Amino acid sequence: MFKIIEVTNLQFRYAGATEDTVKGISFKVAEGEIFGFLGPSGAGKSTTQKILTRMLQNYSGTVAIMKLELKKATASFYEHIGVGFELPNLYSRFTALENLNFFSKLYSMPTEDPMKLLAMVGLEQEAKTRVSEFSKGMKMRLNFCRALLNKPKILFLDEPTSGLDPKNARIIQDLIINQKRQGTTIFLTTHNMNIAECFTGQNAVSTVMLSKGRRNDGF
Amino acid sequence: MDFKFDKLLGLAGNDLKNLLRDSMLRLMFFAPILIILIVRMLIPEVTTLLHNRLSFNLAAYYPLIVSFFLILPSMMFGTALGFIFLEERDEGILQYISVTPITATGYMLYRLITFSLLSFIGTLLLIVFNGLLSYNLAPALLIILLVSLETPIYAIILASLASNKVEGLAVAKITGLLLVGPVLGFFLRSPWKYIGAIFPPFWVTEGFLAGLSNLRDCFLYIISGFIIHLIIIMLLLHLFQKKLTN
Repeated sequence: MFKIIEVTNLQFRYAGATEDTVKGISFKVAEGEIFGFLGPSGAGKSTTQKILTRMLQNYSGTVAIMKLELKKATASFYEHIGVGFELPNLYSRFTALENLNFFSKLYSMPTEDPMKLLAMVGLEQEAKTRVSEFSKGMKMRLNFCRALLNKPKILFLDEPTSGLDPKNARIIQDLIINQKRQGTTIFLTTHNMNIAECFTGQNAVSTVMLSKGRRNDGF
Repeated sequence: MDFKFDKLLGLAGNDLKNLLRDSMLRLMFFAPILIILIVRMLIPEVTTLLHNRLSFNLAAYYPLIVSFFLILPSMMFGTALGFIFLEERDEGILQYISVTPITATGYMLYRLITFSLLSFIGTLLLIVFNGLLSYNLAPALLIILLVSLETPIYAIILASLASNKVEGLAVAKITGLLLVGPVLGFFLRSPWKYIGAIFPPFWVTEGFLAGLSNLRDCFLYIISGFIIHLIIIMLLLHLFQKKLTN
């Protein structure tokens, strides 16, 4: 199967730090799979995700996404990926619909209809409500559909269910499965070791365990 | 980064909506119009009053008054932009923008340019409609361009030194100290007045006042002012970039 992400001997050290945060990890992600990137806090998960989303660029090793070495990628790379951060980052003074309309203007490629996305996460009735009035679960759902605005080929999700009650967590998990069915590759970063169980019965789910900057799963 | 005109319009529309929904930012946005109204309508009334009651001729100080009001639109737009940056950092918006095709650097650049442009328009309106004195167009345009460069200075000082909006209010008071520059220029004789030279607004007011009598001095102030402003902006951008990456 086509490997959409290929990481080889990735190392990264923050400026001023005395040791590497990521210590030579390698892994491959197949197109269309849910890839669980697991490990406790401080394992280097978020740093690795920041490298894969070009937020950190002074790494060594190779990172190829869609067969393109990231160091050679331009800003148009962001036309093809979606990112859902752990904490929802939205304009609280704007309504849900205004937020999605604004963020869709940042892309050059055709974007999804915001109302369709809101309906998908059950927020169509709240389209004209200001985000400041949203609960954490509603914000996370809106955050999730914002990551889908540009119809991404790869969706990076950082702790997408963190701080959510079981009902809202289930909604997000179903949305992730739904995206996978539509062919999107999901790169899921989490400290929740049981996350793979949430996707039991799904084909093409793989995981990598990380601990103290190294793979901890025998690879 | 990837800029297109329709994208810029979209961003500008979003900024306008954001500004108008916050009472403090709304006031800062319309402040240049209020300033013009004060200069045009209130000052002549005060002049008449002072003349009739105290035989004091305020009109002799019109150049001083206009030069002082001249530096306010940039300060207002710069401070408003600083608060928007702080709010967007609090809400994680800048983090999200950094993973979109426009990138965080592109977004910052767009913001600094558009708000400087707003300052340019606000100051131009003030010079044209102040009603107290008229001014030569060529030096006026250069002085307006110079003072517009203060918008990024106020915005980046606020965004770099404050961690949130509450701290921002305190820092905004400190940036008000930049007005010391013009005051030193007004009240001290040469060479002492050049103590004010480290404050960017000094070059604007001195250049403006010199332009009323001596164009050569005016241009010298403007050229020196551009150099000082650009050096300060480069230093502040470096500071802000560091703060963003931390």
